[in-house]
Amino acid sequence: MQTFSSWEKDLEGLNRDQIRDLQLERLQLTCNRAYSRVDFYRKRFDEIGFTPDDIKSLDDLENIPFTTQSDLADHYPYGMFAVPLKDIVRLKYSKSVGDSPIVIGYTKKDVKIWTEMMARLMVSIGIDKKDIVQVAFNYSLFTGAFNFNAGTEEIGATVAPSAMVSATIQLKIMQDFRSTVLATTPSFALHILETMRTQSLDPHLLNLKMGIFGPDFMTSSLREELEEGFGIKAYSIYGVEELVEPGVAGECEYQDGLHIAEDHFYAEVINPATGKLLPPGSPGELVITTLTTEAYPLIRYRTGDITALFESPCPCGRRTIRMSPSYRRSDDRITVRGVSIYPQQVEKIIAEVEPGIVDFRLLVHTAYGLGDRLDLLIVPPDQATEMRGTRGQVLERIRATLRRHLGLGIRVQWSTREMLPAEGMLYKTVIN
Amino acid sequence: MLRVKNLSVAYGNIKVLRQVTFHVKAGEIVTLVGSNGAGKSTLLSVISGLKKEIEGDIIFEGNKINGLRPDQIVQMGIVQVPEARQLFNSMTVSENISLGAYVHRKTLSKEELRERERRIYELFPVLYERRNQQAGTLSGGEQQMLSIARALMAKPRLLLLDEPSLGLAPLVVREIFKIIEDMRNNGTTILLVEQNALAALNVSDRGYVLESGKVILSGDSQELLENEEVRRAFLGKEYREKWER
Repeated sequence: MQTFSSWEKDLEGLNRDQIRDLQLERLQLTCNRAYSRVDFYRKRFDEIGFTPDDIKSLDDLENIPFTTQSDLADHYPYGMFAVPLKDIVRLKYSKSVGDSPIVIGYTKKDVKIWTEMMARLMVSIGIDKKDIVQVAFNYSLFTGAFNFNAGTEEIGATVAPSAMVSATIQLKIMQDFRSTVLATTPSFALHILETMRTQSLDPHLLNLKMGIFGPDFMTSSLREELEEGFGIKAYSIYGVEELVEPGVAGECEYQDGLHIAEDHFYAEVINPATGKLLPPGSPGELVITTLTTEAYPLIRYRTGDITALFESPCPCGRRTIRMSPSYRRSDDRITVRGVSIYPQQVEKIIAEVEPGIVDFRLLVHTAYGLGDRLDLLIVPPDQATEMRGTRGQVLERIRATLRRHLGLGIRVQWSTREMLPAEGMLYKTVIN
Repeated sequence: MLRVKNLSVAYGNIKVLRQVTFHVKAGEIVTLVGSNGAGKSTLLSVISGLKKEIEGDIIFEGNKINGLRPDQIVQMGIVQVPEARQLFNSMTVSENISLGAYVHRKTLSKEELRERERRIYELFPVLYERRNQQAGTLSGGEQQMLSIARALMAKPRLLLLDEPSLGLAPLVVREIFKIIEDMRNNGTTILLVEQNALAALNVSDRGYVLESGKVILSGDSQELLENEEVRRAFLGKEYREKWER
């Protein structure tokens, strides 16, 4: 008997063998589709003399090369689509480390599956018809926010979208509407909590009983802070910007790792340096293969997120594989207040705006392990005349351009070579 | 109930099925959709044991059945209704029906046989009316019914239906599919192979789309009916248009 509350019983009640059987069926289908519909995959398979027929078990996937973010960017905009554009109902823009962005498409079925995944995650932590879910995500390019709305409505709960409003109004909505669930980024949740304290608002006046926080992962101290501060249980969810976000994985009521939606995704963990497959339990880079995606199938996509997978049974009864929270990236991406930034982007922008800048550092200020503020230190050339303007003008131009491109306000300051902090572990500048 | 894993079949050098993996759960109607030559009928003859030179596994209720003789497979509960009926035309309707239980002739009592016949005539009253007529004199739709009735005599747990709508008038097709639904409601699991994707998907729970011997789509029947690719390829709602980008 299943003991967990479940949205799609027959999928979630499967044992490991049944899950793997279903995955193989869908993996073969995905490879067939990718091979016959996406030129990129056909070429790549042909290059290594691989045909979809060679996939006889899940382990055979190991022989296929990875798909990387630059592969996606190289085929911007529609080169990776497996269906004609008219079958697409949603497009999602995503940044990449390179020159070109990425666009991901979804068919009607993709969107439906995505909604189902959200509904499933919500039901698994006990959200039901009686709940009022306050969705306080910044929608802008984060289509995941739509899915919080859709998932909430799918299970018959009430959605109260509250994007882009201040913490004060969030708190007012929370009190007046009697919201029971808060869905937002951990950093904004923290900000709401601080605002609540400044206003000396008694958390007992709120009806909040849980929070769903992502895409950043909470450190255990942050989780504790939010749970105690609001008097709630705080759950993490996980998504991949280039697949679906969120919905790939989510915590159950036991908060011990995130259950991966294995009927829709096949997960592997590799050594990011060698690309070799790692056994369960070892931390490495998460690699995801889509199993049901129609429009944008990805085979062995390197997510850049460092995590470990656990096959052991969860007390909740689900036998899906679980991933540990990911606090590190295998690339240089940093996240500040939910905005992901590649130092390479910053470097490029600086070089365009003011080629005279000789060196720079990005300083990430964190709160509870989350990027909270970003400072940029720049070093001017030895001769001030080598710059396209006064120091004040250059500073302002860099600041404004970065803001436009990154969607995040950054504090920019002049520095000198001697005063620059030592290079961090993330990124080393090489400017000749 | 039925799991087909990594099935590859070739006629000489020509591969007709490539690494086909799919499953049928008890109580389901599952449709395999595909155009001419996609490998659908081959797949059914592999399951019923008529085509033996294969790679891969056919697992029925946990037991591997590839390599078994067709009669052994029938005895296990898998019965195929062949494409184009293949009746014994010069025999009467009732003779054709009783032949359906041939593999069970040693184990079944007369009463049990009669009871099965009675239930079949209940399902197909028109066959009862014509029970003494030669099978070859029936109309196309009646022949199809007889073919299904004959299969039901073996009391299949899994019924394999190959193009049941082939060559039938639309009204008759509707009747046949109504019967298919009735059979499922009586507890028979059905694997259906059809070119008439619309009719088949309308009665089935799930479907797989085969394209040159490979599975390229799967999903709930309703989803497949709404799927643009399926519509373009099989439902004729729209002509295949040029790739738009």
